[in-house]
Amino acid sequence: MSRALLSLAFATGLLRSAASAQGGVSVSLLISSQEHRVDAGFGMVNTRGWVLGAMVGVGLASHLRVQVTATSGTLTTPSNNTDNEDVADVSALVQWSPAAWVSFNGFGSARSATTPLARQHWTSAGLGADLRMPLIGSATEGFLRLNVPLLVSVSGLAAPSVSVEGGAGLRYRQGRFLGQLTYGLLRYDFPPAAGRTRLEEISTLTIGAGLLFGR
Amino acid sequence: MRTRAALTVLALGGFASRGAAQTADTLAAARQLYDALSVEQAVPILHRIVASSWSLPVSAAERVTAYQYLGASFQLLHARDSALDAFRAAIRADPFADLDPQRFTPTQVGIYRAAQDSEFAVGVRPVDSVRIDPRNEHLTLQVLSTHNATIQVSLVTPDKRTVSLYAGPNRGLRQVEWDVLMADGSFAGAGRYELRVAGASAIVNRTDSARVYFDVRLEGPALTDTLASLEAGDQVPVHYGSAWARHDLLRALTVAVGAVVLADALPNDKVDGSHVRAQVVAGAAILAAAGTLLYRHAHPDLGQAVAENARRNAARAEQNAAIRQENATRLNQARLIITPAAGAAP
Repeated sequence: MSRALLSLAFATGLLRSAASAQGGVSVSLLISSQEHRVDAGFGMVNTRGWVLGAMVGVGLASHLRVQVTATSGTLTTPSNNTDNEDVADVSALVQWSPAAWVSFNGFGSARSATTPLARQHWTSAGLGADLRMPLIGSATEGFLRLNVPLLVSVSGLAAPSVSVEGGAGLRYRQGRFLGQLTYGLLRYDFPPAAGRTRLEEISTLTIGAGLLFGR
Repeated sequence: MRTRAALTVLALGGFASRGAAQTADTLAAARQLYDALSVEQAVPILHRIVASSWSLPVSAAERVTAYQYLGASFQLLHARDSALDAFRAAIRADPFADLDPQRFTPTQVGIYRAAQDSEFAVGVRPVDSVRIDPRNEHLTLQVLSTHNATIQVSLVTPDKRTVSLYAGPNRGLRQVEWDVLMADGSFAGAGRYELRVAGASAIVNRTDSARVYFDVRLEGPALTDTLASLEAGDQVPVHYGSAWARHDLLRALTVAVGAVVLADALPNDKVDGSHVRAQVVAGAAILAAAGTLLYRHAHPDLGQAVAENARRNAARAEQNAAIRQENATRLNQARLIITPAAGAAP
């Protein structure tokens, strides 16, 4: 369950950038290929699957933008010994761009991962930054991201001792059309408990397409 | 006889003591001697006035008068060639000068005409102070050639543009009207103007030129200068340069390398998995770089920059149109003040 929640959280975290540099209101649909890898001290288990979602971005000022993202999907496992998990996530991102080449991020999210046996809830909040690089004039933008979840709460688990999120991707805008391709990696290392260390990693590849309104 | 002696004494005595007034007094005494037909006594006095050894101030008008009376005196003494020389000197000193037929004999006037034919000069009379309504009044300018000639009359404006006022044959005095318009139809601006006349004699192989200066000042609401055309520095570049391509390539490669490095360095090794997702993004970034280079090669113009420059030029043209409209309204109330000036520099 926790893997499902983590997967959703990470996916939405990366999807928040869909229209980060745009003004007006943007609406995008997202599809993400995710892989969730967990080693709780009993060997590594992985699940993978597709997550669908939507994102709405609103430009509040010339350098400030807010995005809200909701995603949901099912990650499946090839092993008969592991359950599939249904994941869902709602997150918000505030991006401040004091210059064309950088944005500072503040984010918060609520996630759930459900298996036939249990449901796990994750909440997190953190800070980060995007290094932005325009390509082909202003039509395409590449970016590198590093976010740090500072406050993480996981039902049934202690707070992770290491939590970091990285990403790289391309964003495209032509007229009202928006597109994006994003790679993301989320790492959580939990402190040892009963002699075992829990490690989690979620990697995502997200494709998004949307429209920009009001500008 | 007693009168002549007294005048001679007056003319020769003490002339060095009273400066400019002394020249006028001496010239007046010489004229009285002439009028009294004591031309033998008038000639040396007049000679002294025009001689280089005369140390007192002599105005141009006084010098011309002295030469004219000297020439007239020589004529009365039957020295025609000397009279001709004196009249030529008068013409050189002031081409506008002439002999008054009421005061001088026809023979003297005839010799003066002969001097004008043999001595070529052009002249331009200083501009009088005048106030002009530029909509319907003209500035009258006076130029002269001493005999048949081809002359060119022109104005040089404060911004060094030349306005031709007359070009053609001329003899004697000519009045030229200037409608205070520039060649492009705009009103004369404020500043110092140069009025030039240049001529080539049709009788003797000589040319001459003369010039005067005058100031133009606008009375009434001030006009606003139109804005200059946008220069290169005011416009955005419309072509991609090689530096743009290099920078785009570098940025795209940064994204590609960044994705691969993240996938390699960020995970915990115990749960590290496939990096194919990062490799997809890295490949897309490289494709984007290649696409950028190909696109810019095929479309060297920056479409947005071209549009932006067009927008800026249109805005500038709109501003200038508004300024011209406002200036036209102001000119309906404006007057030009013309005053003579001493030289080229304001």
